[in-house]
Amino acid sequence: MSRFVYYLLISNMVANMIAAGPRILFSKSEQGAIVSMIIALFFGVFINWALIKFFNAFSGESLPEILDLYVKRWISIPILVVLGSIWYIAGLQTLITYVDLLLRFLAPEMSVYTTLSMFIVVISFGVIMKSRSILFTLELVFVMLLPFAIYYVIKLYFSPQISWDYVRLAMSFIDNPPNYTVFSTTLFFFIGTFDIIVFNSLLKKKMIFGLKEATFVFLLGAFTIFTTYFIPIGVLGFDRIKDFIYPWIFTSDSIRMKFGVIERVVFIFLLIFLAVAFLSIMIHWHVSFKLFENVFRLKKSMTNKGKTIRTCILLVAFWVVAFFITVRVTEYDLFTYSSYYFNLMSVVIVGLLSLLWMLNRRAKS
Amino acid sequence: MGELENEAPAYVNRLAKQLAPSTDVVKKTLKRKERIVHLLYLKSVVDMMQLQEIIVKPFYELSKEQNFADYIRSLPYETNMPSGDEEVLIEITKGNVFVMIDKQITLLELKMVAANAVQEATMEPTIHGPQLGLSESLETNINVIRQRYHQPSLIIETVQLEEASNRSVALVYDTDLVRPKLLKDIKKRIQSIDIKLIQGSSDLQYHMNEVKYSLFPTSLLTERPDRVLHNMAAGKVIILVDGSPHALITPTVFFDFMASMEDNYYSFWVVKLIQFLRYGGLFTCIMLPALYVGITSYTPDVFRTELALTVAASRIGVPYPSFIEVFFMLIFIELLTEASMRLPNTISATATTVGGLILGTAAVEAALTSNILVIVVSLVAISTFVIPISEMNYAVRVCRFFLLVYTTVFGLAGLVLGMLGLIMYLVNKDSFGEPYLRLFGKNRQEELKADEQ
Repeated sequence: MSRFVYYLLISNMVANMIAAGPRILFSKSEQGAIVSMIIALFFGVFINWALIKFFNAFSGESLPEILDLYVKRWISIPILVVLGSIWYIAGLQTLITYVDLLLRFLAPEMSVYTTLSMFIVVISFGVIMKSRSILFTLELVFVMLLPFAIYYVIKLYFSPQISWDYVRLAMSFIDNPPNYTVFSTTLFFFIGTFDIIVFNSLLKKKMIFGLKEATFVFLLGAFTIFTTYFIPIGVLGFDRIKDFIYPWIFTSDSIRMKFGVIERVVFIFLLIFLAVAFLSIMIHWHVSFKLFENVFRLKKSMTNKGKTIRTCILLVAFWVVAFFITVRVTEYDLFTYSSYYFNLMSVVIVGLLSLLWMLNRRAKS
Repeated sequence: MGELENEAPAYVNRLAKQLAPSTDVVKKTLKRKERIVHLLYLKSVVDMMQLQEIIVKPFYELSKEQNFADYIRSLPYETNMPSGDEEVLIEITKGNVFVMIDKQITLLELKMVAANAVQEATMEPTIHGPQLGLSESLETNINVIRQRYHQPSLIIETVQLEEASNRSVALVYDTDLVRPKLLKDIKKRIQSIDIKLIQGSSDLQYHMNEVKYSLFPTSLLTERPDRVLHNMAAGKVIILVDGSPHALITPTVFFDFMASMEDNYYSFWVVKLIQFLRYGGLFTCIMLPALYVGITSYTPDVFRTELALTVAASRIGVPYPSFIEVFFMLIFIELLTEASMRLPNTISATATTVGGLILGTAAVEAALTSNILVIVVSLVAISTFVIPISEMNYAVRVCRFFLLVYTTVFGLAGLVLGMLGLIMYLVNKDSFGEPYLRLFGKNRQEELKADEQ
């Protein structure tokens, strides 16, 4: 697999750690969370394998290009619309969560409009810039954040606040029957790779998903899921974990840097995760933008002016919807709709994979 | 062909007429028995001694049997004869001597260049490495490069600019290493420059830039031959302009601007330390002013309590919000830098002392700024100068203000987003098809090729 695919996968995993994901997991901690997570872990590696395998037949082509080749336009339009909206919501969900976080923990006096508008310029630029640049930005930011992230993880795992007894207690609920919402929430950790439906046009080399890659994805997923689920339980305790809205913020805030210039680790956490969440929003919306661009394509060749107008209309639509929803959504809504969204997402993923399988068969025949 | 024909032929007359009212035009006819040679040149650009030695003396010394025309043709100074009067005239103004024997026309390059001395490298000084830079003459510069790089694949291609000065521009590159598409691109850009007058490599650099409003430089001006070679060996194209002591390196990416030639001359760990300091300086000078505003005005609780109190205490008495304070001090320090750059060396020392020391202390005592901000601003000013190339230095100074504005409006989160935006802008920019900012050079060329397909 190209290194960029890993970056896509990781960015999605990390961004999910702070969004609504953990809260859904904790809400079902006594109703089969663990079994579902384990199943989702294996299934997650499987969907990654299937995706890479199906895309192998079309190296260097994005999904809209493939659809153009093998499917009639009236079939491909609804597919692109559905996928585009799904990816748009993925970004929006992270955006709403993060705006809420900033308002709550970093700048409580700021209005929600100001907070949202600080994202406008930067994300819009990210959405319309070259796909290649997005991948490079991703790489660059990851390398810059890596030292902080490693420090943060080490600090977490070796913090004296962690009570491993609680972790063991949480693990003892392994015998509950699996729960679908937890399964799909966990599966969402693995869909970062699916961004290659657009980015594949840049990945010219044939990708291999062998045992080595599968192991790596498995370990990465296992580590992320373990950290997301068990570390907050270890720090905050098992009984009350369901009541936290942002368990991860409180987990980070329980760690201190005794001799640091910055004492509360939560600020480092917030700023690192702001960068990662931002990247995640940008990637999701970029994918969504590219898919919608292909929906609203009047002729094979459009004039430059037409393209600019289309870009502007799409961006304005993106932001109008984002403002409209962010201002209205309450915490409870975010939680409920996120779980609906995750439930829907895993169906869409399976649908997308079967579509790819069909396209693959068409390409072969 | 008779002795009576001492009048110059019509062609020479026509050329001379076009150069006419200039006082330095010389039209000469050498005559000896049956031989007649017509010379046309500008005496201000031709080396008189050479002319005497190479053309005049042999003319009278060669015996009758020896053919003077053959002798002239055998001279190594010959330049290619262009077609068309206009081009011939340009060649003459460049310092060629027009020689006409019977019907044979030859141009001999006997140019005299006043400023061909190699200058000392003053803009990018290093402790080790060559101390001398390039000169203002194209030939000398090519000589300097050739002397250091002995490869038959080193190609020097001369192009003439299509503007008022008809300057010669040389493209220097190693054919084995350079990307063909890049070369084609650069030539196209040079040909498409539509401007009245090019003064030197710095404005050539400006006009070769396709984007009208750009901040970061996409080609690098240097006076150091070692930097020229270092980049040429990496497959880049060097552009030399006649009369300019700077070489233009294209395409250049962000990291080229952050490299000092001294990185090649020291031992590994020393270089790593220097590089760490340099990048640290870069981040400091971009982010520190914005960070000060973000922390003092938005989220003082980021710092540990003691430090937050220290910062707050030093701001007691400052009558306005921190961003005004920072803007005020930054503009002040920019003015100081700008002034000391324009002034002669002797006065600039005084300006710096008065500005930096006295005004800084006075501003704090007058409670116009906090003590800590004075430290912050001087740190910023110092770390700006760690960036080795001055164009990048300027660009970074501008970025600092953008980031400051973004943080002033949106707080600490705005700082992070602004920084990410800056990174994205740099990544998305490209220099002659090469991404401006990206990591991992290992398969850089490979990925570039994949993009071109």
